[in-house]
Amino acid sequence: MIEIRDVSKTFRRGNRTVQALGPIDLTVARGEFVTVLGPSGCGKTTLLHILGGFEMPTTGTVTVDGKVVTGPGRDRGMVFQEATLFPWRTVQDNVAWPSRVAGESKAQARERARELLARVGLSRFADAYPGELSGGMRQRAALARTLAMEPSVLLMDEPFGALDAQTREVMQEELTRLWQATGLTVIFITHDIAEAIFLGDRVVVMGAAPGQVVADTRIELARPRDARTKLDARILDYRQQFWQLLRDASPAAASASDPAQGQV
Amino acid sequence: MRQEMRPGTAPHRAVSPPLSPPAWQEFVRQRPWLVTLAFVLACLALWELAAARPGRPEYLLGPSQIFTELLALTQGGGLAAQVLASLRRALLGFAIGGGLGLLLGLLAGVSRNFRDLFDLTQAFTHPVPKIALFPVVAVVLGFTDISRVLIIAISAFFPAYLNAVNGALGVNPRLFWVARNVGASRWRSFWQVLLPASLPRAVVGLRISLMVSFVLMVATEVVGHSNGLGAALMRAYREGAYGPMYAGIVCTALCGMAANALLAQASRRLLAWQAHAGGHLG
Repeated sequence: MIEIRDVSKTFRRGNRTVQALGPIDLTVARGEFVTVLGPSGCGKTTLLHILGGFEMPTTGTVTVDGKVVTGPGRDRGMVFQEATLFPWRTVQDNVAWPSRVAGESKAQARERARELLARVGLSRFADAYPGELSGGMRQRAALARTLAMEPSVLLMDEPFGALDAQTREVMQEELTRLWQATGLTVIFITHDIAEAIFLGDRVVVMGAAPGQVVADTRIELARPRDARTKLDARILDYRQQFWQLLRDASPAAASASDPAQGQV
Repeated sequence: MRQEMRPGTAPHRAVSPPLSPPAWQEFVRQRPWLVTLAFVLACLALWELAAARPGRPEYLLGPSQIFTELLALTQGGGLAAQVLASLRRALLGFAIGGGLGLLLGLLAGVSRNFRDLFDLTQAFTHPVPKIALFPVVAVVLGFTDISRVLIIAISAFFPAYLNAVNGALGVNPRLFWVARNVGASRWRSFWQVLLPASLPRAVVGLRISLMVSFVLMVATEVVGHSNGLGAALMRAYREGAYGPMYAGIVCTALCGMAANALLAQASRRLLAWQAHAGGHLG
């Protein structure tokens, strides 16, 4: 459903050229939940921006549902790390906005917003302003707003990174439940290994400088997943595996040589 | 006599509870306007005393005299007509200059092309004292209402423009990404994202523009034949009629205060969402 072919991104800083990303080749099937794991600076955010159409690749193409990506579109909904809701509108008005832009009437848009807010558990806060909400609530609202676009792909850029550990756990469980119900294709960026394992059908590990795919692992944990899944023993194996990959892939790893290679 | 210390008991020392502030202090703290009022009254009283001293120069008037003068002018002196004429100029100039400044400022904030095009012009014209431009404009348009409103508008333009640019530059670029994601047109993004997002900053500029409008209102009325508060003020000065002169000054000040208060109220209402901050829900 998503084809990333030979995508790379080169930046020019002054008279130096820095290859931040690529080349990347990746295929994502419809309805898959793919998590992208990587250290800071590995270009995973740039990749997401390219998928979203906010940045153009220097080489290669991205095809979504057979169409080449040339710019942003409602079929690919983006969720950022910071909620980016409009602070001058209430939560409900924020979630209703995409429908209004599409030409729906105020009543229709409001109805749709109410449904989505109920789905993310924010019905009680429909008339609150974003400034009154906590981080977790804001991210739920942001997710509801993105869903209002009726996208076929959800692009999530470390959406739970700014939340406290407990809220993060709760949001992960809610997200996987929501995904289970909607069947959307999701590409989720994170640097949290446990999060990547819990959420993904596949974990794509990226290394830095230049950002490249270092591993692409299928996660064999049963679906649907919930809090009990986190107790599965296989998670430790995956953790070890990815931890090692990340360490090797991280530029800092070059200086630290560890003779004892991960023996479980 | 030595007090016997039994195990398990601590020496009992009488500790008085922290003193609560006297009742009148609490009363005043909950009503801050009382302090302001007291201060204003004290100033007025001092002024009145100074003006009542024998041997004071004739051009120094006390508040009570000014007040009587003001009353007389309102009833018989056609003060209302002057106020209306002046306010019309000031507010029209403010609306045109401030409005244009706001919109062009927002445009300059988001469009590099427009900024490159326009910024040099405005940087060049800004430092020029606008009242100095009045004779220039008057050569073409005469000392008319149009030329006055034009000068007022030009002066009101710059504070609005600069703050609007600042406001626009300070907007989180992700908000525009959201707009593009949703498929909003540039027109919609301008009015529904850029404007509200920049407003807190831009409004500061408008407040300044309003004050500048009043200053230029008086300044333009002082030159050439005109009606209005500024003209009346100048006429009174030239005739040595200090009573009406002071009354005119006070009247102008009151108009400015009223206009400012209205704008402040309006902006408070527009920016009501800012008050809802703290992230305490959920």
